[in-house]
Amino acid sequence: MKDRRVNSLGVTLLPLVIMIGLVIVELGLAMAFVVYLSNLSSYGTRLAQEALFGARSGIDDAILRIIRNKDFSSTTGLPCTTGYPLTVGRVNVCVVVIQWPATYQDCTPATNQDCITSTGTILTGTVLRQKRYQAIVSVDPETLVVSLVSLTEK
Amino acid sequence: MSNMRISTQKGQVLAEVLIAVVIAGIVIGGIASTIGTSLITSKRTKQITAATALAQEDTEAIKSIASSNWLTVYCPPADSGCGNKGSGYPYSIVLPESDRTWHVQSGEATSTPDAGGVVYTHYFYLDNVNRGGDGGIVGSGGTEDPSTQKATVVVTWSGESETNPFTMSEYLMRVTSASFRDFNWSFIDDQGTYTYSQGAYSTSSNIAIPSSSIELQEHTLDGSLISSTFDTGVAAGAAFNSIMWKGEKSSNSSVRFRFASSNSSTGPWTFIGSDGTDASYYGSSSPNVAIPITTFYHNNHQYFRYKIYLHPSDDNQSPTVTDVIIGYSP
Repeated sequence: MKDRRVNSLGVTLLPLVIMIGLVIVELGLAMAFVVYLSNLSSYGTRLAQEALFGARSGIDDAILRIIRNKDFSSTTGLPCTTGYPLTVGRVNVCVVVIQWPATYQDCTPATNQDCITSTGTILTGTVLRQKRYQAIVSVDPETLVVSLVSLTEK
Repeated sequence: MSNMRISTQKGQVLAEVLIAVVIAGIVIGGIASTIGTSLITSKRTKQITAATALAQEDTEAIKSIASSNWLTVYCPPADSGCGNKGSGYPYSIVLPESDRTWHVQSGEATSTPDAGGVVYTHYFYLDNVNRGGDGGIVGSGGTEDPSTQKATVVVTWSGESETNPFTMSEYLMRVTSASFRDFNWSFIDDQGTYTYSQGAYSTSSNIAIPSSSIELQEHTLDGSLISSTFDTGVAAGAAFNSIMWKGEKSSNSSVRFRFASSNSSTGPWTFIGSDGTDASYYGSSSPNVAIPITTFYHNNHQYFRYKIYLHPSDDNQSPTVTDVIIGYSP
C-alpha cells in the first residue's frame, strides 16, 4: 500500500506540470494572437489611411483637369480596368470621370454635372485596403466655373 | 527487500521531477520568448497607431490650408522664391492658442512625450509635380504644374529606425474656380485696368467690330486684337487655367490666342503661346472648346491680357467672335 502511494505521488507530478504547462502555453499563444490581431489592425488602419489620401488625390486631380478642360472625361489606362491611373506613394488610384448623361455604378450626374469616382488601392504582402470617394461637380459651360456639389466616401 | 523497493521508488520520483522541470523549463522559456516578442510588438503597434494619427492630423491640416490659401502651401514661409522643395526642406504645422488657426512654419515639430516616454517628431515636405501633354501627372518629363504639389508627411520617434521612416503622401491641388468674360468691344483704352468687361480693348489691327463681335476687316488676310488689362483681384497671384471663345467660324478659318500676364498693371506684356514662346498659339478647331493654358508660364500673376488672332477661310470668310472667356483659380 505504501509503495503504491509513493508511486502515485510521482505519477501525479508530471501530469500536473504538463497541464499547467499547457495552460501557460495557451495563455501565451492567446496573448500572441491578440497582439498579432492588434498589430494587424494598426497596420490596416495605416494602410486604409494611405488609400484614403490616394483616393482623395484622385478626386482633386480630376477636378483640376475639368477646370482646365470642361469637356474632360476619363479614358481607361492600365493598370485600371476603368478610368485613368494615378500613383500616390504606395497607393494605386483609378479615377473615372463621366459627364451627363452617362452613368457609372450608382452615380448619375444631372445636366452640366460630372461624376468623379476615385478608388485608391494599396496592397502590401497579403494585406489589401481599398478606399473609394465619389464626387459630383457642377460645370458651367458658359463661364468655365467648376464647383463641388457633393463628396462622399463609398 | 523493503529498503530496496523504497530506494527504487524514490528514483522514479526523482526522474519524474527532472522530466517535469525540463518540460517546465521548455514551456517557460518558450512562453517568456513569446511574451517578450509580444510586448515589443505591442509597443510598436502603439507607436504606429500614434504615428498614423499624427500623420493624418498633419495631412488634414495641410489640405485645409491648401484649400483656403494655396500660396501658403505653394510658397511656405521663409521660401521667398517658392523653390524650397524636397525632403531637405521640412515644414510643420502649428496651431497657436492666439488664433486657433493652422499655420505653416519651417522645421520639424516635436510632440510631448507619451505615457511611455516616446517623443514623436513630425514634419512634411513638398515636391513639385509635372504633367504631360494629356494633362496627367507624370513621374518624369512634362511641364511643371504650379497648381499641383505633392505633400509627404514624415513621422519619426525615439528608438525608431531613421532609415525607414513612417511616411504618408497626398497630392494637393489648386481647385478653386472663377472666370472672366470679355465681350462687346466698343472703345479703345490702353491704360485702364478692369475687373470685369466694360467694352474696352487696347489695340487692334485689321479688325472690324460690328454688332459687338470681332471680325476681320474685308479683304484682309490676318487681324488681331489686344484686350485691355484685367485684374483678377488676387494680389498674391492667380493661376490661369483655360481660354475659350464663342462665335462661329468656317472650316478653314482660324481663331487663336496668345496670353500675357504680369504682377504689374502696366506690364510688361509678352504674348506667348502654349510652349512659352511667341512662336506658338492657343487654338481650337471650333468655338465653345476650353483650351488649357500652360499655367507654368503665367504662375501667380494678378493681371493679364490676351491677344486674339483671326485668319479667314480659303473663300475669305472671317470668323466671328462674340465672347472670350478666361478661367482662373483665385
